[in-house]
Amino acid sequence: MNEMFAPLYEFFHYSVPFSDDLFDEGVYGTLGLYAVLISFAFVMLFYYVINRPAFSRWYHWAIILGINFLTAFSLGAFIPKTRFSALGIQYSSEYYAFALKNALIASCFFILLSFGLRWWSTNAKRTPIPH
Amino acid sequence: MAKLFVFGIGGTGARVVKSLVMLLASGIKLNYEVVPILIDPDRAGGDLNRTVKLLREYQFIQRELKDYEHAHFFNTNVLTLSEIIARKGSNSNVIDGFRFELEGVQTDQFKDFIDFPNLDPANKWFTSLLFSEENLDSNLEVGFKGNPNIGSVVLNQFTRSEAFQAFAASFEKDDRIFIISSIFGGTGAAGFPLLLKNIREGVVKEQVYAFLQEAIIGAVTVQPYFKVSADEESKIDSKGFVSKTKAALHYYYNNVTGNNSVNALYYIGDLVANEYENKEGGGDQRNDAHFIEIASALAIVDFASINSDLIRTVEGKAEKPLYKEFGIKENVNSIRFNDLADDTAKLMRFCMTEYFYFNLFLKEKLSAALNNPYASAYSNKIDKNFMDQAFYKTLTDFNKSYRIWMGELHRNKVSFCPFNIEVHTGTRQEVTDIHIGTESIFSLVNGVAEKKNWISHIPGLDKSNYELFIAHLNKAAEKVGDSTSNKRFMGVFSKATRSIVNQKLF
Repeated sequence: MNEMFAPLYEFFHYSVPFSDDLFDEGVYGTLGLYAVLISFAFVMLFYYVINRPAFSRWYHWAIILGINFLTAFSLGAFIPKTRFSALGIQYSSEYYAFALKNALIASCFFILLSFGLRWWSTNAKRTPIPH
Repeated sequence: MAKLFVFGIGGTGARVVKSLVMLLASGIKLNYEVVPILIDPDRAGGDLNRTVKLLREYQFIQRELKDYEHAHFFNTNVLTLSEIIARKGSNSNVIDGFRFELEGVQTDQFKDFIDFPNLDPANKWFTSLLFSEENLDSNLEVGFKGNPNIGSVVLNQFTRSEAFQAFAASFEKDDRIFIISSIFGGTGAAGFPLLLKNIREGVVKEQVYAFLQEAIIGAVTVQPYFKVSADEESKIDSKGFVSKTKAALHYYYNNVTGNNSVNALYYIGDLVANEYENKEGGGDQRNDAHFIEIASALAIVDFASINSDLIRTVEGKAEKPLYKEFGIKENVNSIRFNDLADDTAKLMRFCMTEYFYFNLFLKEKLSAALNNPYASAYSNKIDKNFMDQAFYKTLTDFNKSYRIWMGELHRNKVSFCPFNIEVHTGTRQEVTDIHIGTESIFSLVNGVAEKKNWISHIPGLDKSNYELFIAHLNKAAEKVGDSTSNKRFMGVFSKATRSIVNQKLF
């Protein structure tokens, strides 16, 4: 899992030794899995649980995307910080840069899952853009 | 499919046919193709013309939906006599457009119609015994003004016409006939026994039509249910309605019921509580729709549902004629669904409520709700372009007439008010539209509370009102699938209104 998600996280930005430490502690795998699961959960929430005509415009979808972004950002900052603090490793701004990267990756998952799973929604199958 | 020929005689005939059209549009289904034939000398009659317009609109909409299993609105085929003739491949010059033109009534006075000036003196004296001077001078263009003695002479020509011959020729074994008439006026009171007699004789222009002689015939005879304002200028005086009814009933006792001419006869009437403006005829004679007319239309629905074995005709006589009356549970001034007898309520409440919500959504919401999946997620879209097409425009016109009809029923006496609506009127106090004064659209059925579950009690958590409606439309669209826009549109609304009425009301 760690090997699978590492290229995704390291494609745009790689910094030594923070990226190596993330890889060594298996954070890529954990956060990658969380990003997929969280995005999936929010997509299902929007298209199948809420699934309301009055909450099916593109800006309603954008609100859920924003919440997905913030959740992924929080986890992207919290999980590495907790792991590295336990090991006595100190970083500061790296956490937030990485959290932003995690939030953007989670947003990509949300968008991809939205377009893949919206077809069976009764009320939001055309959100965010008509097909 | 067998045909049901519905003869609507006079103004009441036209108004009952109008109610029948509204019921058929709402989804009441007859297992017959309906062939309305309106007989009225008053060519400019407001009620007649409104009914003909509605029939044409109904037909236009129904043709688009032919054999489409997902739509239950407009589900019964309505045809003109000339279409039946054309379908059989017969040669005929009959062009009816639902109404029969009576020759010789357009400009003639009655005395010209019977060629009174050229009669010999003996016949002149004899004619003067039967018809007053006022009768003889009467202009036939606006009807018989409550004079069945004139009507019986003039309408006799209909049964000798090419149209009647075409009707006789197109009448087949399992077809039925229903005759609507009022008993207290001129046209209906004269036309009903005359038409019945000629059908039972089954001879037109010396040709015998055996199926016609053996036809199963139903009829509704409408007794007084309104009066007209006193007007010295007018020849119509409602004080004579009851005595005319008595005289006609006495005649029917010998010539209609007494000789078993009719297989099922429906009697209907009401306390005469409402008063219409006294108009002898013409375009101004546009009476408000009345519940009696719906009840009379329901007689047609009932007649169409009776098993043929129960109302057989043997050698031109009804074997076991049925005589029926219509009643409601209690004598009330405002009739709701709950006040109707159980069978009537069962028949009407679903279809009328479903059509009411369909109509309401189209009027109030559709143009602002075209971006939802039911409208836009399919290859044949319901969009502004669809709304500019003839089908939707015709449907819009029909729906407006439906709302006006409901408004008239609502404000009439007795009031038929199944829905909580406000009636809008124009400068001449005519009903122009109806309006609802609430966003809680499922509280609009009088005497029926909106069904709610526990989620509905938490504000904002559950879908409600138009949002719930749209959700049902989206779901219905998935079940209906793709088809032409017109069919899909009607199919989606048929299914959605049925499911939403089931969920929220009945």
